[in-house]
Amino acid sequence: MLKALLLLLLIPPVFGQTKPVELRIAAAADLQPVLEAVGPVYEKKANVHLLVSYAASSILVSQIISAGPGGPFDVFMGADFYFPEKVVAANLADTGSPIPYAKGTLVLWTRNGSPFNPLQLSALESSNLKSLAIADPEHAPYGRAAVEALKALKLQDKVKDHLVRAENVGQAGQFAFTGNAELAIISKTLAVSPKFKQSGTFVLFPFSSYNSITQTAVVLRSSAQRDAAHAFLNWFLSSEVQPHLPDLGLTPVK
Amino acid sequence: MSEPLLHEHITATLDSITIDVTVALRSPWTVLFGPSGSGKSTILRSIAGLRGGAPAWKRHIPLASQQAALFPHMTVKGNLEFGRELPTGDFKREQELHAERFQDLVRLFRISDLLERYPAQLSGGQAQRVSVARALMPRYSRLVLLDEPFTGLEQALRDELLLALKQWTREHRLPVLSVTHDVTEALLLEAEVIKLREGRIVAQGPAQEVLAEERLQLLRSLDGSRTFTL
Amino acid sequence: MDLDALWLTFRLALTTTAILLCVGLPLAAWLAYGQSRLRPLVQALVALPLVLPPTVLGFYLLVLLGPTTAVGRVITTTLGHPLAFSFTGLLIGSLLYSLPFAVQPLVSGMMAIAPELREAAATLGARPSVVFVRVTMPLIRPSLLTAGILTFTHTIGEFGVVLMLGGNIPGATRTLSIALYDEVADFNFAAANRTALLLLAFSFVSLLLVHWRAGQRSTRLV
Repeated sequence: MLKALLLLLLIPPVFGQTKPVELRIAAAADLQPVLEAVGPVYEKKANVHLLVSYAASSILVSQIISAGPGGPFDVFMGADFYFPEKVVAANLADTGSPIPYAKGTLVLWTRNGSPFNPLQLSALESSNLKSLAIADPEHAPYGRAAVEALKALKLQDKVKDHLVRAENVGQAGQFAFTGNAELAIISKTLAVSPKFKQSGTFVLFPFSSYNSITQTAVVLRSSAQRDAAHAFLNWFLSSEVQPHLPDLGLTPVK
Repeated sequence: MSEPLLHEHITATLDSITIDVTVALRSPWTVLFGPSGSGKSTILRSIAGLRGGAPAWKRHIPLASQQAALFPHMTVKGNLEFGRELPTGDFKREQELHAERFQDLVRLFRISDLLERYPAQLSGGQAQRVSVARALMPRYSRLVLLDEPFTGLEQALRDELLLALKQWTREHRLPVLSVTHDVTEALLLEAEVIKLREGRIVAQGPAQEVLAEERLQLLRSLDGSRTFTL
Repeated sequence: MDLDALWLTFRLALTTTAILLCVGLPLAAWLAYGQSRLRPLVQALVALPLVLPPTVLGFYLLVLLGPTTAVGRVITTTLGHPLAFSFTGLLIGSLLYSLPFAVQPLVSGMMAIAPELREAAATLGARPSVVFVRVTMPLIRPSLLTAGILTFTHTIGEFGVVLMLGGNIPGATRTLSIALYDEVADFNFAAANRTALLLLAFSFVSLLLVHWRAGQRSTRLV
């Protein structure tokens, strides 16, 4: 009897699951709700474990470039073209050009109970406005887009003194979520995520007011999981994911 | 004095003994006598107000502790003047009285050449003398507590100092309670002795009587190497 | 060199140090000499910022003292604006974050004073405030200096709290450490290097001062 049990203990490596591949992803802050939603689906399907670090694009790129080959990530999913392009320029990407995977949308968000309900873009002109949070335009694509939109709508000077610059678009949302800022210009991905949806409302900025946000990704050349990385990106670009992007606040790349 | 100038019940627990005494002081100079560990310092500290009850700074009972405890950041002069009371009424008169007291004690304790020194520059015996002098400076004390004030002083100096102090405190009507384990001291002071043993008062009375036994032992141990008068 | 950030950082550090020394002295005295049973609890609370990630502190200030809580609303009404994105907010964050650096050296210094000294002063008629001013304070001068230098230096380097709470407003909340972070994120490594060196040199000099002073102690009687 005991012998049988011991034998059983030796068997698992044969019949059990193989150890999942670990894929390290550097992701722009606006992707947090998206990857948290689709990530588990992929993990189960492909037997891959996704390790995601969210931060402002510029910070991630800084880390990737300083680390050089053998750095801490396998994939960088950015929120625009500019930052992943820097990785290509530093000769660290395994493609000659960043891979577009989705399009982003810029929104204005406010908390339920803020003085700007029901929300309209004209709230930005209000003299009652104390703080407007945006992601830092130098470090985050959505921050840059926010400044573009404000310029296009000729609101730049009006809001200049009320501007609060957050580290990344997630933190910009957080400032408004906690009520410290009355308004925030953030990504639609954040605005439609459960937390933000429940506690506030948003309006879109006219697409003509900012350069379209094409979110692109690169796979790191030195990564040991390049195949797995490309498999993941391909899945993200497949019909399993792209049609569902609008629910998550993005639009399909095609 | 028939009405005791101090009457206090003191209890404490030290490492191995429990102190339970009622201290009643009637004489100009009372000596708390007992072996080390019998609780003498604890009793002094209680009377000084350092162990609860009315706070020490209200009691007007200065304490010169065994370890000199001079303020290291002040000169000897600074230390002596520390307890300078706020002038009440005639400012000029207070100044005079204070200066007088100062000169008195400096002379008595032979510390005039030490006034500008810092405590770190004093010998053990010198520090001791300054500490006792400092405790005697406040002019409105109702009692002064001296914990082993003459320990560490060489004998000749001690004898002189002791007698001078005895006279001075009587003149200024300042009652003293001192601690010692030295029989000769108690006898020289002609003090009332409270004998302590293991936290209890076992005898109280004139030195001659209470320390009769110890005195005899002392006489026997002296090989006539010193004349001894009482 | 971002002069705005430099001046702001200095202002923050100076104000924090001044306030913490004033508040820290009575608090330290209570911790060193008090009898209350609450002391260990307060001691732990004072030490908490040492182990608490600054971002946690920043987070709590952001959320708990923000307009969504009752306390936060009181603050917002009193100040006229929320705590976040203001010098006041940073100041409060700094006060909490640097608290142990001010209080702990003071407590150590006070506890190092032989109790007989304070007792002698008391029996000579000095009330507690007089004992504090004439005996305790002069004897803890080295500790005061240490507390001041450590608090100042620590505040200069503060980052996590400012990041969470500041909003990166030039002149108001954009401190040197934030400026450094920005410079790195902007790939402006030359500027980043300059700022970093400045911060490093400053910290080093401060620590040197503290240790030089401590070495001096053995030759002086205090």
